[in-house]
Amino acid sequence: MPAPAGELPLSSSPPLLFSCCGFLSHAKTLDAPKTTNSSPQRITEVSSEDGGGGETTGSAAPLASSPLEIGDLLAQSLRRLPALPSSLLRASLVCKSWCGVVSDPRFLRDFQAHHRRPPLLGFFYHYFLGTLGGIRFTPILDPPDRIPDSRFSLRIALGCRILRCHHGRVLISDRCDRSFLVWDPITGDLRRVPFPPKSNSHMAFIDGGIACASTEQGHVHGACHSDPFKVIALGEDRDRYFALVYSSETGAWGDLFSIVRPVTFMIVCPTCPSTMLGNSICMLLIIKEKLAVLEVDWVRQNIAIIDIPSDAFVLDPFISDHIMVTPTSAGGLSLVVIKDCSANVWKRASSNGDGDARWNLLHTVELRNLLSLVPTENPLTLKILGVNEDDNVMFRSKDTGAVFIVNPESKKIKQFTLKLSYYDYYPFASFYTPPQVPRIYPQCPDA
Amino acid sequence: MASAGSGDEKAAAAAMITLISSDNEKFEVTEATATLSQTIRHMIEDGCTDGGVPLPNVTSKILARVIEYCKKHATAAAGEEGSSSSFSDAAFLEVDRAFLEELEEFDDAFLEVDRATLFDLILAANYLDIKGLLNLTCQKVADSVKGKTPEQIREMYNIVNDLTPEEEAEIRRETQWAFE
Repeated sequence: MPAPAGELPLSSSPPLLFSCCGFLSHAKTLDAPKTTNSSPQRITEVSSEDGGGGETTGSAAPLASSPLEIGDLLAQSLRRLPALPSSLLRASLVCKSWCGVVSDPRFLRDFQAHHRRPPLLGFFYHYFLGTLGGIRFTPILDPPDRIPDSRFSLRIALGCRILRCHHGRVLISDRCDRSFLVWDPITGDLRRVPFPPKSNSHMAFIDGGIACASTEQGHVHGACHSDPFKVIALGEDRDRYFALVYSSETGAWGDLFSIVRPVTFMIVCPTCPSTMLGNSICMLLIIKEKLAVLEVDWVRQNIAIIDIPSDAFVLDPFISDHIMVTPTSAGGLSLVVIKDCSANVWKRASSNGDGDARWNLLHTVELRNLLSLVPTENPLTLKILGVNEDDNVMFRSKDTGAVFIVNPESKKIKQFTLKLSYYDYYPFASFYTPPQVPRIYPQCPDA
Repeated sequence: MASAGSGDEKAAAAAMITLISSDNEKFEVTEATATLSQTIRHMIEDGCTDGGVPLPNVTSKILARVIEYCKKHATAAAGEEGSSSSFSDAAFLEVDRAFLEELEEFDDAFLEVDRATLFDLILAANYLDIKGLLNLTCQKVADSVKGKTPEQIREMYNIVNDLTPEEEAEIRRETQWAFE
């Protein structure tokens, strides 16, 4: 007879008394009453009701301690808590030993490795009121994991805009001050990185990327607070698209790398969000009546322009937030195109040489039926908000504000109760780690 | 139930190991079952299992449950080994899927124990180095803590709060939302 999920049967639980500093030894009395509220000094073991090979819980049994008093076993259990913000915060307030375990950097590394992907916490967006500008937060989780807007808001100058959130950081471009801002909302750390110097007057920065630069083995991105980072600046001038990479470790921009613009009438799609995938940033280019992907590989320092077949999209330069480059699980490129309330997923077949790789229509995800969308005369009712850290594509219904995510490969859909208005929203995923207070809490010796 | 002591099955085919609990009860198990424990695997590799393997940290009651777990999972790991209904090649995938479902049901039922037994199973799994059993039992503890307030967790496990009010305030600073 299964117990309710998440519950241990309490009726026969032995009252084990322990504190962080010292636990009572696990003495056993066979005739003690089955009660959870007996004197805390009394420790009772109740025999397993479903029996075992030999029921001999007598004096021959060894004195065992609770696994929760052994730092390593406590850590192994707490590592399996959900990757939600309240999990570790609540555990840290149980007692000193629990706090020591969950704020230990080794534990946090294991916790993140166990969960692999940080949870989506909500969305950042800009607001401007008169001469004031700022970044605000719309949480997506329910209490107690609902991080209030006030915890994650930032006053910024007019003219600033969010470029993206990635690896737990927010990248903001400040055109007035000609710099990028790198903000870690969880720690509050805010750094200013000046734009790279211009080598000609036509140079303009059009987009940027931010990535954790940790080289630690097994590192899982999502709470990379103290790790080094890289900022990727993408720009254009009359003749080329170019990029430069800033390293927080050296505090300097690297060399410029570029690709020649093959035709003059070529613009970066103004309303399509660009995508960071692996070591690349992909943007959509409008080349006359065609679309192409501008792929900037900032590790190999290489920029490529990849054609998109004309049957994959209906071009409208003014309403193009219905197309987005997305990553595939194999590390390749795919393309999600919304068409009449369904999402066509195109996948780029891998090829050995450049140029002859082909795009194939992988499948179509029917959204109208799955989401019970109201039929509308306007076929373009969905806006792509971006790609989350788990490679799911986030959509917003322009009619209802409803938000949902779709995995382009598995076609799995998840809908949120949240409604978003007309702002541009930037999905923010991160682990929420407890405050680091090592001066108060010694690390658990066994952890 | 844990008919762990019966060593008559396939005795001719499989090497048998004798495990001795803290209360001196002997359990005869196949090598495939015993080697789910890395601790015992190393002892077998070192040739130190003649005359039985004494396990002074594990009672017979817990050892019987551990063997029950290992028998089931050794069957899963070895495929045809340990089971008379071996998988035919043609139906292998189907049988495999069905067996995994059965294994999940087994694990769920296996975890229906009181807290003292669960704690003893964790300690035994740790001592015997049985990864799957340790994962399973630790997950059960995590599930019991999930969604609980610090007060509820302390009450559930009779933990004394030894944080000072100042330390509590330090943790709650800017994170009060997580406790409401």
